[in-house]
Amino acid sequence: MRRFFARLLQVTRGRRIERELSREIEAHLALLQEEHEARGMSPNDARRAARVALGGIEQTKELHRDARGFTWAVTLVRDLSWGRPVSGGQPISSSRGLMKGAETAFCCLASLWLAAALCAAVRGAELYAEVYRPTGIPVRQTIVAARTVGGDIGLQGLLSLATALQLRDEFPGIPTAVFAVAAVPVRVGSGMHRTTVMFASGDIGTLGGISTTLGTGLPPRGAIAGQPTCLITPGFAARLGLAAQAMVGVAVSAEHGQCTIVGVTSRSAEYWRQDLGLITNLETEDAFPGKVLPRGPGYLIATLLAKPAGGRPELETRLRSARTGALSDVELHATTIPQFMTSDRARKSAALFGLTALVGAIACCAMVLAWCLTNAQLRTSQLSIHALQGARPMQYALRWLSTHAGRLLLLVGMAVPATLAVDSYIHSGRFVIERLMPVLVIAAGSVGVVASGILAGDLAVLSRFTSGARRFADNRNGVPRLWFVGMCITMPTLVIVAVGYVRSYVSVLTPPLGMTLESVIDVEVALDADGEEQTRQFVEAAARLPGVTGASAMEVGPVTDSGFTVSLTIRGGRRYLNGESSHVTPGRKLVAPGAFAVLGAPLLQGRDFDWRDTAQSGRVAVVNQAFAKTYFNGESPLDRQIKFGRANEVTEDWATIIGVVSDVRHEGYRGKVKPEVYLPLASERHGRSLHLLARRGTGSPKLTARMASAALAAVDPTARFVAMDTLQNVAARAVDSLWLTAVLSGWIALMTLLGVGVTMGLSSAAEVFARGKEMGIRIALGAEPFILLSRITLGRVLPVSVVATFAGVLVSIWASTVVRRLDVDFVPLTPWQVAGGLLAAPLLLTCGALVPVWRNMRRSPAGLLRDN
Amino acid sequence: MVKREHSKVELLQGTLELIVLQALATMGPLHAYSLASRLEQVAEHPLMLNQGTLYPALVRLEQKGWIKGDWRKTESNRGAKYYTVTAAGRRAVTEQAQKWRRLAGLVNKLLSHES
Repeated sequence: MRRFFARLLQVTRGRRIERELSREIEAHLALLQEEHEARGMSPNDARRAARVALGGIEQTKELHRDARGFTWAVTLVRDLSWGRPVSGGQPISSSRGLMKGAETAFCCLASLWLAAALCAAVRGAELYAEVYRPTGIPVRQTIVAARTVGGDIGLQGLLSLATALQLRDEFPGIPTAVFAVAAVPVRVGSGMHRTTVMFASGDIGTLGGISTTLGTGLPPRGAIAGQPTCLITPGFAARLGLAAQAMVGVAVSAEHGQCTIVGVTSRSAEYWRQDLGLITNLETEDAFPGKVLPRGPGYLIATLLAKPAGGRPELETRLRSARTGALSDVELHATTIPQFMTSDRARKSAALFGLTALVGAIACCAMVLAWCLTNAQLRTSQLSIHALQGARPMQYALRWLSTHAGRLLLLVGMAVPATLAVDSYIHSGRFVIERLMPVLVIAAGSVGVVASGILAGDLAVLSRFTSGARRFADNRNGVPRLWFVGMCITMPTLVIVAVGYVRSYVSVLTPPLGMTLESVIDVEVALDADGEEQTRQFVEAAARLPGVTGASAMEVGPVTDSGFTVSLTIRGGRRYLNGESSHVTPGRKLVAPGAFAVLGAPLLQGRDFDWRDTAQSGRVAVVNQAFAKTYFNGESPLDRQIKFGRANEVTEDWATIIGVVSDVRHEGYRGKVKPEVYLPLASERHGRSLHLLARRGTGSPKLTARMASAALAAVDPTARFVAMDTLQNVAARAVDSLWLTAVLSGWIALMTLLGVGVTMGLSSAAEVFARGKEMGIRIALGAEPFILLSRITLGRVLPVSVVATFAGVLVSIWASTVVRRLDVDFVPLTPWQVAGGLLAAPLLLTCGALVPVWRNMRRSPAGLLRDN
Repeated sequence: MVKREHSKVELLQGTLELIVLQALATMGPLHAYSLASRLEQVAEHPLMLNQGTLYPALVRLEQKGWIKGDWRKTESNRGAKYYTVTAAGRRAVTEQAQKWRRLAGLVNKLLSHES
């Protein structure tokens, strides 16, 4: 222990100890020299003999350093830092062999970058394969989507299940399946999970392509008896963390009843909804009492499936003629089921992601090879000595590997955690280690590529020497031009595309949401019964919590709202239909009193809702600024009346506008401000799940959330809490994918830039070193060092970099156009910015080339000559 | 030449510290050069020792607190770092010498039995 602290102390007093050591060794040598001189030696011989007896000054100092400090730590720090100059006139590795100083730092960076880039490429390929998964539906069928014109529930484009069933009964002879999906909380075992449940007729198996891979399918229509059954999707089983086989026979309860899992579907089921978890039988009365889907329009989608006998036109004709008067508002549209399970946009994004990562990996490999070739050229003298000593390529390779095995393992060790971090971030959005083995392989492979590159460069030079070709002695073509040009083209392309991504991220995040996310907690609760009174009790209980300054509730959580729109009629004004291209139809939101205050959206005119605004007290509504501007041309909308659907819609009452609130982007960062109508939660039909919002003044979010759950459980012990989080986290998750793309692209571009700078510096160093003798003579004859070095270096490098960069910018403009077509969020650079890049890139490259020039400027001509 | 090389004694690992400590305890304060000269003088066989290898041993002994160094003038009026054994060093030299004797005795015993 004492020795440990003594060593620690000596590390901190390094300079002083070094001075003392030099003085001590000097004295030692002087005394030895005196002794030898006393024996009759000449001063020179005596000095040489003294050095021999000591064993070398530097060697002695090195032994002293090893003994007094933490050698391994010091070596590691030195290796990791750019402790040695990129080029200082000396061949980079001439004195201490390979994998030291700048070389090790480069190897580390290259390995880490390559590992991460490969990791991103692998993930991109996985993503690509995932989104290009075929639907699995055996025959390409025609899907007939039914939607209402006026809306039997006020929501255009959607049907109630009753209407869907009625439609099905009107089409005898046409094979038809009906289903509706609803995102509901589901209890599996003791845990609550939110998933999408499909309520489907048994024909969905043949018509919808939902086959079962395990267990049995849903019973066909008319053959339902006994216990209600359901199917589980493999995706949902995976989300539960259970094997699909283990799920068969498990009882599941949703808000509509309980059913037993009898089978596992194929992945093709997820075509209908990506988050589909369960499929239960529509005709099972117990599982679906009264055939009434979750109350409220929020979840309801119904579609008729049919396999037409006479083609799509024939089908549409038959459907049209079969419609009865009661369903005259229903419009039918026939479309074809697409070949793939995901949207075009998702497929394009995946392709783009994979492409970017692949280009990054290729650029990285190119950089490694370019560097290795340059490095081998710089080490020509050293390698020639090896060759003169009779080294053969295989012998050299084996010796090199045995010498550097430890350092290569160290590199692998460094690459593994970095790759793991990147992989886990890409894979799940969080730093969770999920796939150790692939990451180990990628990390080791990356280091292997770097090591192979170095060895290959050395062997190439060595082979040239041993084969008698002495061209390396005149090493004027040390710059690997082809690689260099490739890098110059790749770099601006990646940088400009990546800058576009970063800009798109910034542009998405810049516009304000119109609400204050800080300090707001969102608790999603599943209710067992119709809960107007219960909702009020929940809100009041949350408001009474210490540190909470306000509480309210919404039907659909803010930030992530997918945005349902409605048709609208203004009393005394015109009617606006959903889907009209000339008008933005408004969104419809159900909120409890105080919701605007909790969200931080100020009320601009009129009043907020209160708990007395019920279905019995007369329908009221609050609209936002955009609504007032769009439909009332900026005039005050207060006391005006609106109705959803048609003016003669019997199921809808007129609602009086009592307030105007500021605009809020409920659909999150990627949504737009649009007209919104807010209705009181207590007076409208809504689903059996709510988002309780609480704004806290003090205290940690976790503590407040725990207190809130305890308080709400006290109000209703049967209430089930589905999710609980801060709105900030919810918003952050909503932009995760864009953030990831922007970060990865920016990162790959930055590393490319760095790589090209290093390659430029090394290439330039090779030029300077190769012509060192000539430069030394010229400087000795009076040439201005800066002008000479700049002319020699830049005269060769700059024209190449300018031409290549110009080509790179042209490629980048084309690439930006392609990316813009692939990704709607991408914000390309303007022509002016591209022109700026055109000027900046060669400047940057030139700066890289000037580093060795600057270093050599400070050296004497004699030094330059001596080194050559 | 070859014969001379074979006749040199290579020090066992860890023994140099004991030798240096013992020399300092016997001879009093010495600097590195005089210490090396002293070791060469007392050795019956030439040691395979670069004088520079004394420095790591001196550093280790100093770190253990068994010796301490201070700068003084030599007879030829040259500044040199003299090393002195501390009280802990004197205790340590006794312990280490006993350990060495036990080890050497054991090795001797084994060798005599085997022969």
